[in-house]
Amino acid sequence: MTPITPTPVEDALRQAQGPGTAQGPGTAQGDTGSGRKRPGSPAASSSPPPKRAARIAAAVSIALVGVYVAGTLIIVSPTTPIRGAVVAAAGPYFTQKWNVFAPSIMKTNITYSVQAQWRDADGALVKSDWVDVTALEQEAVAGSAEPSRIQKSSWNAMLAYNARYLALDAAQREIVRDTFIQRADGGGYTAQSAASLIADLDAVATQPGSGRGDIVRFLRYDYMLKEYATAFSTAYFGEDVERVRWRIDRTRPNDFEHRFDREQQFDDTAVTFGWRQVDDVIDPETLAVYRDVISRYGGTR
Amino acid sequence: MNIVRTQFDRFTGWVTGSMHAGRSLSALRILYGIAIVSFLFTNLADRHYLWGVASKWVDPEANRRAWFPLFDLVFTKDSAFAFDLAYGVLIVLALLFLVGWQTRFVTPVLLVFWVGLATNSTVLTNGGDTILRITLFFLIFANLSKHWSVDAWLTRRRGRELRPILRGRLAIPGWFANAANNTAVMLCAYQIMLVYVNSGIYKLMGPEWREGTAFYYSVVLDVFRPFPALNDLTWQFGAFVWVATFLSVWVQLLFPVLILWRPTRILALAFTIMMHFGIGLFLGLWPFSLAMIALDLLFVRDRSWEAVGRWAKHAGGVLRQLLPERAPAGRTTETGPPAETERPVTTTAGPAS
Repeated sequence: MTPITPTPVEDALRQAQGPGTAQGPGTAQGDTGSGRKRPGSPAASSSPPPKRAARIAAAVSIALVGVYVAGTLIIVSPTTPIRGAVVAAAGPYFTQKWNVFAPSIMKTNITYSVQAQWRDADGALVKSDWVDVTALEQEAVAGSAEPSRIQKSSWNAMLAYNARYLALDAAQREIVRDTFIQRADGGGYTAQSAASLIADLDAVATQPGSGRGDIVRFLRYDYMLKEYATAFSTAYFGEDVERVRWRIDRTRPNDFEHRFDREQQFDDTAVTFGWRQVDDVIDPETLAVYRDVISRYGGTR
Repeated sequence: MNIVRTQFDRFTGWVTGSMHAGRSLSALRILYGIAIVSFLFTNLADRHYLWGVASKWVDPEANRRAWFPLFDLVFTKDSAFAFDLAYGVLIVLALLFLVGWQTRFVTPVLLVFWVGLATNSTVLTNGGDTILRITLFFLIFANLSKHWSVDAWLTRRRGRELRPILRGRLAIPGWFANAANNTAVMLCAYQIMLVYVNSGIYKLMGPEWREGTAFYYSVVLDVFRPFPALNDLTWQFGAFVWVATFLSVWVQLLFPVLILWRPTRILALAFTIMMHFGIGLFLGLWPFSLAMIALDLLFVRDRSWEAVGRWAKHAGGVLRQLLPERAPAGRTTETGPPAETERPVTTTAGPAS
């Protein structure tokens, strides 16, 4: 521990004990461990000479970097047996996947359009026009150097919903494109229960019971979109909405080879889902927020 | 065994001896600050729709993410007023972070509020939010306000370091603070390399990236067209599309190798910084772009920052001579590198032999 020893560690320690710490410069030489506790250091209780403390710090540093490197490499690897355990340990905070714009880059626009029904003065159901929610939200994009994140709201929801829709079997897709409304016992209409929907979808599965997770994931998102469509169309049309449905529209710009062509290379596609019964009350604060967004982004009403 | 010991001792000296990347970390703080502040202001009008009372429809998914409970506490969806209060606090924290005031204490609180806001939704986040979230956690342990900050300005004015909050027996020893700072730098440097290599591998798997046309597809979707005419201008020349696509894949894939040697490092950083500038300009993804540029700058050594600072001061001097009536004599600007050159460079730039 003589200060003359010219190893990098000693050198470093002299610097480390200098300005910027709460102690005087004199303690850097001789016995630095004069009874001071170092909370947070692994050797806080024994007051070791800093040379040892520095080595421990260096070892901890290497260990932390090593653990993080190993952990993230497992997380980003497609499938390894221990990936599940590591992802669970890392939690949503450190879980990551860097497949941005890759491997196959996204080539189609996707939008969420909604339609609503309400009852007129005579009690007859009135059907609204279709409203393109995504187009309205993406009014935020053009002309704005840093657009509001509203650009991603229904766009991302549609990407997730569409993926879950495509995970279903052909027969199941047919069911979800139909209505989820049934006649109520005492007259009128009511929403089909989640349990009965799951049973219906499970019954037509190519291998009954195997795709239960896919069914539940789809229905959860379907429920969310019903809420989204209800709030949006109630605010947009200003009516007491009783039923909603929605449509996924996909448009695809021409491929690179045809980028200068006037003619549209790919046909637009649309998938329309069945009517869903509105069975909850929207709180006025939420409605006011939707109205504000619609008026600011140029909704017609 | 001896060589391991020597190398370990050398590493111990490096990691505990002093805080590295002081200027890069300060530049990073400013860029992160701009990214967060600009994000909060561009989303200000839509905040309740995106994360507040009107975003309850997303809860069946959002509540399934097992976030650390602390993050769920900050932003409520039940009261617009309480939400606005938290949003206001977040703006203040982001501004304090940007100017570098008490960064050691502001950074962890900022992280809780920033991540807390993001956890209220699942449909809005992108890679930029992920990289900010992960690295900001590491950076809690780093010194982000050594330069170009209110903290540094106060230190200079008082002629001594700021009084640490933890003093006496609770004082954090210098070697410990150094090791924490340098470990954070290593983790951030690794993180950005992981992003580049991982996305480089994914790109290599995609036919459009291999054919050299992916750049075109990235600028034609409505959601990424802030200035449609500008976007369409970029794909008029096939050769440009091909070169931009090819370089995006290979510079990312080879990034860890390219940064080992100074000439290739300069080229790689120049390219990635320009690429992210382009992503900000053409796709409007500025928070992501600024975060990536900030992390790229970690690979710029203090010596290079000082050279840039000297050059900027020199250029400023020349400019002042050319425009004598514009600037009052003897005044420097509030921000930017020139203020740093007050201190003799030799005291900070390593061996004085």
